[in-house]
Amino acid sequence: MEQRARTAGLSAKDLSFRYGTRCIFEQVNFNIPAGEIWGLVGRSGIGKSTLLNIVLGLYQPASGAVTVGDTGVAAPGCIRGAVFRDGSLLPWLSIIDNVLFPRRHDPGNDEGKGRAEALLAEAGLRNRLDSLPKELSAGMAKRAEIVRALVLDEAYFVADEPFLGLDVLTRLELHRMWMRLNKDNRRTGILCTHDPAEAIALCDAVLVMRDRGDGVATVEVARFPAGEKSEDLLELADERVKTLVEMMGLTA
Amino acid sequence: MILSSHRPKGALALVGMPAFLILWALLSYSRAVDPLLLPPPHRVILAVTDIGPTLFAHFFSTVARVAAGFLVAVGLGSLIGIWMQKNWVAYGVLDGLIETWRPVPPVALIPFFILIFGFAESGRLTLVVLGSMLIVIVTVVESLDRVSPALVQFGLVAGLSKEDLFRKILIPAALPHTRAGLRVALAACITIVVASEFLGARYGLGYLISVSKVTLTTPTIFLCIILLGLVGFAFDALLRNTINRLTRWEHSSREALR
Repeated sequence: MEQRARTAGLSAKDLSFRYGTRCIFEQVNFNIPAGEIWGLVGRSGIGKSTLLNIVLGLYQPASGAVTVGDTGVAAPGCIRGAVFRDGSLLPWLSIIDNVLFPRRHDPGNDEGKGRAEALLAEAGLRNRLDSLPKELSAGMAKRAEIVRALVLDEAYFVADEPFLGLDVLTRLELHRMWMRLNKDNRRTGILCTHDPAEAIALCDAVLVMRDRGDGVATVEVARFPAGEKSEDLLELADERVKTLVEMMGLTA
Repeated sequence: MILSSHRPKGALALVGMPAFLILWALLSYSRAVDPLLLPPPHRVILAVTDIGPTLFAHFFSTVARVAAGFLVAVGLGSLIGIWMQKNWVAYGVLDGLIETWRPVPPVALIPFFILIFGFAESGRLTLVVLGSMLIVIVTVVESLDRVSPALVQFGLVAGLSKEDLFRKILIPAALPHTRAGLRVALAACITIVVASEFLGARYGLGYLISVSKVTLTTPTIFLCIILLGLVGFAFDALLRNTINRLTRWEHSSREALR
């Protein structure tokens, strides 16, 4: 697996994007230090997914550049750890083969295989290694996708609404799994979410994408003092919500 | 139509066939229809002994033509379809060409093929391949196009080359979508094989039909039609089974209706 310098951050300089003649966003600047995950929030349709696709190299910006470490992103493959909004597990491969993709037939990948199995076990999928994606629940499939992104890239992580459509218990469990798995080897990246509480609980800072008044979006950075940052969505929740969640039986 | 393992599909198939046979027997034995035009069932069975062992030669000639024609059509058609999706120049050039050729009934090309190939087997095979291959190409192009963009984006981000993206993601993901198109191509293949046998073949069920038409041997014609139906049914079952085996991972609405 490709190892990049731990000091390498993720930054964007003067990014803009046009869809036909319509300008979606302009003057997007950020500088995510190494080892930090920043949230990305903003109203639906404002261009969050588009921004992530540019960061991943899937779309070309109209101007500006994304820099990963000291390399400019010109094509996909620079950041490999990505979780997409629509499920992207390959339905014909077992969970373990999905996580090892595209190196599943690589005979020299015993170490990778061991690591993948360990991560899947930690994600609660120990007994599902040979299951097909269609045999998993939505939450389990997301777990496998997150593990796959962690195996594909040890330095960077970009996720587009990875917890979308999941119930609160599953989301809490996934959050905790994500925190646990990312703890030893903190990745740099962006986590897009529609839930501000999720961004506060999981991220070191938050990129807020909003209309600057003329129909064109831009990005501002919201950072909370270290003491105010919460480590869990539940800490931010109302006592009544906590009671209900505990009654439902949070396990992770 | 709801298909389900709990419903007696097999038993229902056994209802349709006998009902058809009974209707046929009633119409011919009652002489409601001239037996020369509609031979009674027993005459059709006796036709097997009338024709003798050459029936096998006719039957297997047709089976071999269908198998060879369909395999070549699927092989070539898949390669061309994949190439078209991979290369926009190829797509631009071939798409228009294919769409102008596709509405032309392959049977209409028979005289032209006789001029070029004479009555050689290669001419018949070319006609069969050409006719069903166009359906295969359209099927493959459309199936590759229907693959979820999320899978393609994942492949690109995972660092796959264009070649690997097709080999490891697009082609396996497109496979379930090819089902309907390949079944239609198979049926077209059988149709063209029979039509090509009307002209200049020495063996084949189509050839047998065309000579029996001249001698008004309707029982033989009926026998050939029944055998062709069985050939089509068997090939289709084989094709469906093969695709099912290759796409066991795929969701099917049948599972949901169980």
